[in-house]
Amino acid sequence: MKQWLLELPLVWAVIITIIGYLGMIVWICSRPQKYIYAGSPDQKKWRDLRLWSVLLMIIQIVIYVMLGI
Amino acid sequence: MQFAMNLSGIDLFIVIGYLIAIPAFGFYFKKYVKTEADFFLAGKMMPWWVISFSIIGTNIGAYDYMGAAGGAYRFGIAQANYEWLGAIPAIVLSAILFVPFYWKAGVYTVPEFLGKRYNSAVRVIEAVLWGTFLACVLGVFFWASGMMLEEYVGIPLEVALLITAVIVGLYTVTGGLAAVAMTDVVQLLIMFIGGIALTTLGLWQVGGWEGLVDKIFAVNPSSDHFKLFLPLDNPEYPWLGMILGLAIVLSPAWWCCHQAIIQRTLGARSEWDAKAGMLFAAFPKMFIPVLVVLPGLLTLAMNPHLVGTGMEDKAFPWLIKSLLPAGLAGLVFAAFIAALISSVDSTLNSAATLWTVDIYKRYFKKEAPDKHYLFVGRILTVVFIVWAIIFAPITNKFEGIYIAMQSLLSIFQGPTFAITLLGIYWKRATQWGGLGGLIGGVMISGTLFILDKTGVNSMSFLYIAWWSFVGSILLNVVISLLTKPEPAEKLVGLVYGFVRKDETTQDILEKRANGGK
Repeated sequence: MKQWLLELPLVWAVIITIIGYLGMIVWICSRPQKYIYAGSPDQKKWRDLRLWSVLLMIIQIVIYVMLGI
Repeated sequence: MQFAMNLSGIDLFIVIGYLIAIPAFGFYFKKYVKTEADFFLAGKMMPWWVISFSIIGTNIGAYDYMGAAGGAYRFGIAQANYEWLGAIPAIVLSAILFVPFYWKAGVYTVPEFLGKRYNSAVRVIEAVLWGTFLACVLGVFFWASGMMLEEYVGIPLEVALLITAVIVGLYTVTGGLAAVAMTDVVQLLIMFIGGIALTTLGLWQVGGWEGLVDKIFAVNPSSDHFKLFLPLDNPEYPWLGMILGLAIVLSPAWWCCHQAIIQRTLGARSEWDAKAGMLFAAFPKMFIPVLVVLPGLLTLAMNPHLVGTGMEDKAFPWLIKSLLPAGLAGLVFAAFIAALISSVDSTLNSAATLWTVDIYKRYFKKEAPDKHYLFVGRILTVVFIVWAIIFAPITNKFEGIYIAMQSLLSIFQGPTFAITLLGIYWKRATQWGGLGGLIGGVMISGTLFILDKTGVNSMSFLYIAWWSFVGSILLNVVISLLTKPEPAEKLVGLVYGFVRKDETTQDILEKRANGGK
């Protein structure tokens, strides 16, 4: 294993993880509304799966900030 | 050290009552099974919340209770990465990107989808690999169930194996996926009630979270037990391996391509229910560390002497035995059995589906009446139960079987995920690219695995998964670019960007997903 990688502080693992979660939020929010609601009986706000996904990602970010750093 | 739990009368009453109630409840769904689709896909009638609970019930097995609590006992909260970083992003990816395509394709299995997207060779390889894996895992699950009932309830092993077979077989053979999914819902609720009761009492016993931290640091002041990521030189949980191998490859491979997981979404009543069912599963999944990781830490705080080969895996039973009063011990033990049974029934149903749809229907009898495949599915379920009973004791004779099965899974998971990802997201991926990527990827992981086992080049399985995934992607891309593109009509409904072009196409896809009705 490269020495510099071994010497990298563990906080970088948390930073990379959080960047990954933020990237997922961007990706999810860029999905078209029609695609997200496909098959849904109505277009009520609570059925917007992008909101569910963003909520999940935010909870994950909070967990990793609180326990990881 | 003896761990027999000496369950009291009230505990045994709860456990036995549970063992009677679950098959009775599952058997009720027999009346809804009239066709092949009813049996394998619950008649495509499942709402999103049933799918969510069933997915998590399938995902959490007794091995998770034992193994995750043991892992937390040894390494601390880094174990929770398997439930968070190693699950949540992959569940979101599966729900938003993979599930809609599987559902719209109107397939019963993941190999069937890959067969449509690539060719029948890919389908057969995937079906045989997954079918073999699921069948062997059944034996291991049966053995674990028998051992647990023997060790903690005092039933002879042979009788315990038969009890497991009767309990699971009764509703899986008759009620199919609907019975499996509905019993999973109940079993997950029991798991949560039991698990929360255990951790609440445990935390109260050690003086809350701060008391837990103080006690563990009192045992080892330089403990890493409260670090989410561990250094690169950690043999089991190096942080880079967790990110590259677990979060990017193994976890998406599990959540996006595992037949037992995906099959629940294929039984959804609509595309939205399929997506929402998968996505909502992430919410209970986030709380799983409270049920399986925290008990490991609590045991460490109360008893830091469970050291030695496999002793850490006794952390969970030790906690039940030491902490819980009569009545609650029965409830938590029932939760423990629930975790096991909910995995056994799902694996059984998925194994029967794979062998019926991808092997029997494809190669033995192509155009038979619907009832015939329903009959074959039921017969195969019985065959797998008998097989599991026979195979279960063998898993004990060869200790490495479960590990070998897990290794087999990690060998083909990376390539499977690679070709499925490219198949859905890249229209230029060809059938030969998919086949080359699958075979080449398996060869890469197989080679790295052998090099690791022979000591030539030691490598964590997390890195093996990563490199096989990268190799499979590269091979698929290179071979695809060198071969003739697939015709557009073959890709409709299977590839991103080939679905929402016009309403007519969409109508065709909806009809296909609903079996042409």
